Amino acid sequence: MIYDAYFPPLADFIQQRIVDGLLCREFIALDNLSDLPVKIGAGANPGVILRGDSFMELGNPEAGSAAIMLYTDNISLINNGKITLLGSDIPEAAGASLPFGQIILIGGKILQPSDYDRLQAAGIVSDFVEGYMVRSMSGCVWSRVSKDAAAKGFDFTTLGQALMALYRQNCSEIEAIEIVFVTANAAAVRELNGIAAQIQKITREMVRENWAIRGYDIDCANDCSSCGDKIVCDDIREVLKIRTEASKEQGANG
Amino acid sequence: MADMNKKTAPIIAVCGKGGVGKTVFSALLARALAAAGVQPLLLVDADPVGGLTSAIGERAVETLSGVRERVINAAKVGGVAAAAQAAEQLEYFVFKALIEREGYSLLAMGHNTNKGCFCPANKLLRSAIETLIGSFNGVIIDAEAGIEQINRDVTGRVDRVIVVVDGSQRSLDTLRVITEMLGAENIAAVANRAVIDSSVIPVGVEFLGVIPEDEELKQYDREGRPLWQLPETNAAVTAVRVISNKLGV
Repeated sequence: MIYDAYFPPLADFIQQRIVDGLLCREFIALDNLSDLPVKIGAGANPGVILRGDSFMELGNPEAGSAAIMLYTDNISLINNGKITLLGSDIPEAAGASLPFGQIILIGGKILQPSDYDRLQAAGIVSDFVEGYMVRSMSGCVWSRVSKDAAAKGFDFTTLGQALMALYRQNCSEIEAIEIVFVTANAAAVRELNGIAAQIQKITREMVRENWAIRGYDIDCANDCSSCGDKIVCDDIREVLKIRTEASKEQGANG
Repeated sequence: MADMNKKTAPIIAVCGKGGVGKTVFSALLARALAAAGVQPLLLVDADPVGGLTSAIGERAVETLSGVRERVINAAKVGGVAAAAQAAEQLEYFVFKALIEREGYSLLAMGHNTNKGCFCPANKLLRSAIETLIGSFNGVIIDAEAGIEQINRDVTGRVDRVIVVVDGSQRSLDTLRVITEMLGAENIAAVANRAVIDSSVIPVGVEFLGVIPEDEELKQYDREGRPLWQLPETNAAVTAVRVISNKLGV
């Protein structure tokens, strides 16, 4: 599939960090979500976690952040349930603001390139994990872990399992999922950003094609001048104008 | 963290003609509400000069205007792509500008160096502030002047407008204009350093009380000492405490 070529560079990225001597830990996600120390689901984290309530912070724009989501129909490329952490875990980082990389690898035999939007939406977990505030930006994840969640034992295994469960919940075609978290240093996250930028080019092209099939040009930047349907829209605008004026006149008379 | 079951936090805007004592009232009202258990409180210093910030003994290193400038300057220099990136990061910088203390937090507006309206930048900023507001049990906004500035720069929702008057005709004219604009229902008036005849208050506007002329407060103000350090027994502090009880927050 479209992203398959990027699985080896990501594997190389992880391998190179290990060769460089970075702390690398691997976990396997548990099947039973009731063992998680925090609640997950809609409204599990209702609202903002202020700085004073935060145990630690990940990926703010000044610290650096990279977020990658790849999917494939070749399930053999995914180590299902594996969570890899390069760098410090959450309980080891009290008060810290760490750079953050998040790689989500998804496999499903019937996944299609056109599933991108659905998978992207499945990963929006803004208020779904108790004690975890995510304010995502494109290609980045800025998040905070609350002191309460940390006290309950919230760590990257918890976060990984929660994300895996939410992805599966939102997209039944997912058969395998693997997550890599990077908190080691800003240079590693920057390198990840370089890979992310290449992937984003492909993604943008794919999203453009997906929308083009539905008759939309998403590269127009709200400039209608080159759009083939401009004449039709101009006519509709004219109708709207006439209706607005008529309604004003009615109001004045009535 | 915000509690889903709590009632919506009341947003109180303090308005009035320049020089009537909006900042003094805002500072003492915040102190009274916090002492009464309305915590955490969000204070928004919407005055470009930052009067409320210094009145409570704080200093704002990052301001909302600084965040706004970041987006505007990015758009000026880097075009759409740079503006989009700055807009995406805006929420982070608003959160960063928040001064967090035990029981209260403060956002200072600061002053804009880019002349012009820049409505889209204001809209982005307002959206980030409104996200933050949800985490507090009460919000007090010390306005530069009228309610329109709050609606443009801070939030579209204000539950109670308290107009401070000082007995002068101009301050009463301001009260009248704000009442005509918004309707009397959610407006209340406070008299600062003046006893006024209740007949000058527009019909339907609740009159909350008088803050007496106070030498001790004036001295604190002259010396730049935080008004929150005034003793509990101070006459102005006592008067605002009584006023705050009437708000039913």
